[in-house]
Amino acid sequence: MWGEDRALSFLKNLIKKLPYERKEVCLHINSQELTRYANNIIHQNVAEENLNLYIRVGEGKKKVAISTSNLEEKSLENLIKDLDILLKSQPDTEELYLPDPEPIPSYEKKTFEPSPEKRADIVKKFIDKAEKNNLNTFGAISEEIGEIAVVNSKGLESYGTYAYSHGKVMYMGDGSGYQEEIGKDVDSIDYESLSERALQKCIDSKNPQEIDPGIYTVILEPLAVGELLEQIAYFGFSAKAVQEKRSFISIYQGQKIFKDNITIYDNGYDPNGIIFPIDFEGVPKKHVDLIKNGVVMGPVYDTSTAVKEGKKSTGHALPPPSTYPLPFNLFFVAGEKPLNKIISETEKGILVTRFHYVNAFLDPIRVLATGMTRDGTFLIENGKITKPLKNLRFTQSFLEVLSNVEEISKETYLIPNIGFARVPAIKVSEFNFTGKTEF
Amino acid sequence: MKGVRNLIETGKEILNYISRLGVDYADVRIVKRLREEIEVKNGILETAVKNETYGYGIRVLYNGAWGFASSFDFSQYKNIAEKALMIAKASAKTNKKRVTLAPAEIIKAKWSNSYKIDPFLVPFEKKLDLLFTADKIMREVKGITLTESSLSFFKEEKVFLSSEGTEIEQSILESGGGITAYAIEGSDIQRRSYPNSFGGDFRKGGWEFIEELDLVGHAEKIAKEAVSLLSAEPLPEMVTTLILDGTQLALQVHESCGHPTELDRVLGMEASFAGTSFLTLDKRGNFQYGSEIVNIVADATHPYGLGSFGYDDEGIPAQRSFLVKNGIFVGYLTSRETATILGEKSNGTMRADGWNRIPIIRMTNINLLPGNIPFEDLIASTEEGVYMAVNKNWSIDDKRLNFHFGCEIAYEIKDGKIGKIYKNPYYTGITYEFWRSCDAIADEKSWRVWGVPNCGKGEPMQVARVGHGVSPARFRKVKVGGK
Repeated sequence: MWGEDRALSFLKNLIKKLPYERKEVCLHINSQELTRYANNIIHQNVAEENLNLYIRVGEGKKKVAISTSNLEEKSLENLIKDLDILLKSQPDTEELYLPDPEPIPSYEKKTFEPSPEKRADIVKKFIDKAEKNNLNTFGAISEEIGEIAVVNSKGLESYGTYAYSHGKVMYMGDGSGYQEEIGKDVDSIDYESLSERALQKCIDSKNPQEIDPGIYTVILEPLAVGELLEQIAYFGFSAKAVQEKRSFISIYQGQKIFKDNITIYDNGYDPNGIIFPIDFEGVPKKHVDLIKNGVVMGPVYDTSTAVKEGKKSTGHALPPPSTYPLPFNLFFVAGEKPLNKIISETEKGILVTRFHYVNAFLDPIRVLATGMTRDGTFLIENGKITKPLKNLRFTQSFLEVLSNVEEISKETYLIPNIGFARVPAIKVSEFNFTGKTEF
Repeated sequence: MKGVRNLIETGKEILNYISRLGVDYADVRIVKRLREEIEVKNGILETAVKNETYGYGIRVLYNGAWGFASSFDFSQYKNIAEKALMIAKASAKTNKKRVTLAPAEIIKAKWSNSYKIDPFLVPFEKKLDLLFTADKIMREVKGITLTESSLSFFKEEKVFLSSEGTEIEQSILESGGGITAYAIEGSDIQRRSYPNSFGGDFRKGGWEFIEELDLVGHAEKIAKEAVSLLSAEPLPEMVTTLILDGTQLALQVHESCGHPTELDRVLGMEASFAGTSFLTLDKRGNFQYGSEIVNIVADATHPYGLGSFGYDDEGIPAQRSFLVKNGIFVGYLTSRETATILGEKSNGTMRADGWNRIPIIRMTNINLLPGNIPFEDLIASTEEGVYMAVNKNWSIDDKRLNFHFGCEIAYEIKDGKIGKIYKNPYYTGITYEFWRSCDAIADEKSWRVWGVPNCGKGEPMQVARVGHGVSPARFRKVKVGGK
């Protein structure tokens, strides 16, 4: 990591060399390590140190971007020459919009040194548990620390850091069970509880039975809710999608189409998530209500999409070539009942641990998605989990799912998403399973 | 960019240092990548981006366990080498079995793919003129609400050096592009793409491929089709005969044959993320994967396939091997580590997504070999059915059995003729049942390798550029519908 002084000083020096009307330089440096294990051994164990420098410039109604990891002077000079050619040889279409400077709220700056030894020790405990139960274990533990610095020609100078750890554990024998969580660092994840939950699912999912596809009440556990939220967020919550009329927000903004119990927001400063203070334009992350008590709100903006509506960026820009702002720190607000009570009050339904290979390109506006269940699908009868089920395919509008939420669990988990998401379990009526598989 | 000679010298310096640390095996890759991405959207230059990335990755085996570390900072190579070793030592703490590498020939070689016109030297104005022209033609069609036209160019120089003595230099140049027209009415989004969806088609080659695509010449047709889809009926749900065009069949091969034949998946190395495979070791040589006319090869030697190369990222020469022969599943995609389990040598499919990621088993060009019936006769000999074209969505279970694909458009086939269009078509099935129902594959006149530049796999996620050679094919008794 370079630290604030070195990063900003480098960028301020660089921006002076760019002879353009509007300009922005952004530096993203991260260090990422990951220990991956399968069949009770560590089979991949990696570390990477990355640097990306992004330069965006504009003149009149022309704009261009370059990025590089190569800071050698000659290489930078060549790229800047390319930038000039790309800028000057294009017709006038749209100007480069840059954000104004604004203060960055204070936040807890977390950092750590990733440790392969510590990760190996955690994996060893998973393996011991697997061997004790005659099972195999699979998964990964990763750690990442990073910093983003941005300087632009409007006087903006921003710097922010982030850090997190991600753990996932799967056990497999005749059945399979899986759990994962995000934490502020490797020590803040309760790996004992995580692995116990995965192990129990694996044991309980032995000898799964076939069930006919059809319409069922389902209880989606947090990992499945995370998949659902990711699709809704990707297709629905970006201002770009709204402006191109590809998002449900372009039809329903301001309307109450869900029940009172549905509230979803994005907030990069919420301490219950992973703090990600600024976006790739240097704009501090804002709290954005996306769905509030069932009313469609949002979306999230970068500067370009915001200017088109006479608004300010909400701090959700991604680095070029992306021009598609996205929510990075999602929160699906919890309910009041514990998950086990929700299960005990369900006469008949299907409990889903996790979805697999979900894709909503079928109909982005309705977020009509298809995907599979995996790693723990169970039948609930008279308030009890009675048997494991073979995996099912669903084809279902996720907007309809949100409309049909009957209960939301009190417990929430922080899991990976587009960025990160804190999500509960939900009970949903009329969920459409359309196919089945052999396991 | 620095010359390749400098990359080799730098690589040797790094390798010499690691070799002194007492490792069982080490390799070093130094990779420089240059990309140019241009997109015109609704008459506006949405993206004009050049990206360069340059760095190195060091892979070591110590005490039979793997460690890998990478960085953009060449001044830190000693620290990075030591980190790779420290990581391997941590891996060794848990491992009861030692990794063994299948033997490999020591190679000193250079390789580059052929092309006629370097796209990075084509004037930017010329590229923009092509995109703005195609964009304008699409927007002139009444009812079109959104247009996307894009070009993408990729150049890679990489060197691979191993402690066994292999030294390889490779240069790769790839080009691609495509156009998409959207007609959006309320909650109904219809789109048509040419030559394929999600950015078009890509191959090893230069600007000559972009000219060959003739994006401008296809702009009006696809825009009109997108508008027509708004008033088309959804495809009714039924079980019928299905003919897939090349673009969709390429993805079908990718998902239902390419991924399940990756031996690392079969062995559980991807289990917690992408899943495993139904093509377990016991099925090799005896499992009826498809009908007798189904022959599928992994071919990294194809002249323009996006998945072609001279040598993989373990230094193994590019190869062509059968995965499915006369309908029987016969082979896997392997690496030096996994091939030892089969008692074989690697068939050369290890690739890394740049300098900062480790090589893992990736598809090369997974090709369905052509049949012997002209495409026109394939349609003419079909009494009743549906012809689907260009992928819109995809999903398959974690053993690669139950799949569901959506396409941009479907055409009715009645009495051997193409009829009316349907919107929102999809088809679904079980992999081996589907391929066993294949009763005709079009001949080599309609066979072509499609480039898929966005195959995701691994953790951290790696994106591979792969290819699929196919001609349209016919499948019987397939469940279709139109949500």
